[in-house]
Amino acid sequence: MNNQSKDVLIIEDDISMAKTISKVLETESDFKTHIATGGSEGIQKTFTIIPDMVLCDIKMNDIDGYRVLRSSAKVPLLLLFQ
Amino acid sequence: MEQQSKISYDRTSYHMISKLSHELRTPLTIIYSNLQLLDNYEDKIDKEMQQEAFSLSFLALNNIIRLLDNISIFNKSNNEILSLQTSKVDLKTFTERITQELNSLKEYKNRIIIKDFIYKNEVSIDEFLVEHALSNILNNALKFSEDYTPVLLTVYQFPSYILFNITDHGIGIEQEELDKIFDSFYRGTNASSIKGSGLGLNIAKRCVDIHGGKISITSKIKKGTTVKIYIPYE
Repeated sequence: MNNQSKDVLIIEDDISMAKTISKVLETESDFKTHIATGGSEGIQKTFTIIPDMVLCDIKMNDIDGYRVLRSSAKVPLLLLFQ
Repeated sequence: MEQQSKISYDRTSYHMISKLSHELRTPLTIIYSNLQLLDNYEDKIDKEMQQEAFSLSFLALNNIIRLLDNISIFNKSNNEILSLQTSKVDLKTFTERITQELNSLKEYKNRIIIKDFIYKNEVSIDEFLVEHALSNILNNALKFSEDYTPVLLTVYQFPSYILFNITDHGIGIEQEELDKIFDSFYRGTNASSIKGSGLGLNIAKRCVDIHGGKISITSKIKKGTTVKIYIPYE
């Protein structure tokens, strides 16, 4: 699979964790990553970036992962449990 | 009555342990993942990425150490085994060491500025207690303000007490929450998107109380917060 142009949106309210996931993905593959540090910013970015995939933290303080799943653009979304 | 106090103690312990395990998991995952990256992709990652991996790991380590210190003080203070132990301290060296430790973390980018410093001589204080009070307040000021704004610190030595004044330009605290903000595990309603244990201010107050000092807080939403710590000395 050619990953060259794949955009991945990371929705995670801990900025250090978001940066770490981003670095792991960009190092281990050719994904281009984008970061949203909260649920509401994440929902907006699913519409503006229209990523190929979303990785979303389940436990966030403004809007949790389940609500992001219901409200975001129709893109594949993986919920991250910790 | 004894049974009730045991239930309350058990609840606090349960709350503390679940908080601790949750708050430890995130920084430990960050350290583990960044070390894995550094180890597995030594040839692939550039210098900048390498530095960021170190910087994220150091910040995560700092958070773990702070959390464990706070839990230890919380526990000792609950069991009344935390007592005042004073020694001669050079106020300037002491303050500079604490600010340097936080300023050296790349994520905090030298944001603490010592704006004014008036001191005369060595003071007799409990270094451990004052250090934990001051560093918790400074750490909060850094965490709850944007990373391009400074955190201003002034230190004045008065004849019988020292005043540490810490001002940030951060998110602020709601007026009606100011009297609850020193409660253990309490987190401001506008602070929910910023990670934390809810112990920092409580520990700062406990340390200041044991020292016979006073801590006060004023704040305006979206303008910032000022914390004043008064420490009596001999």
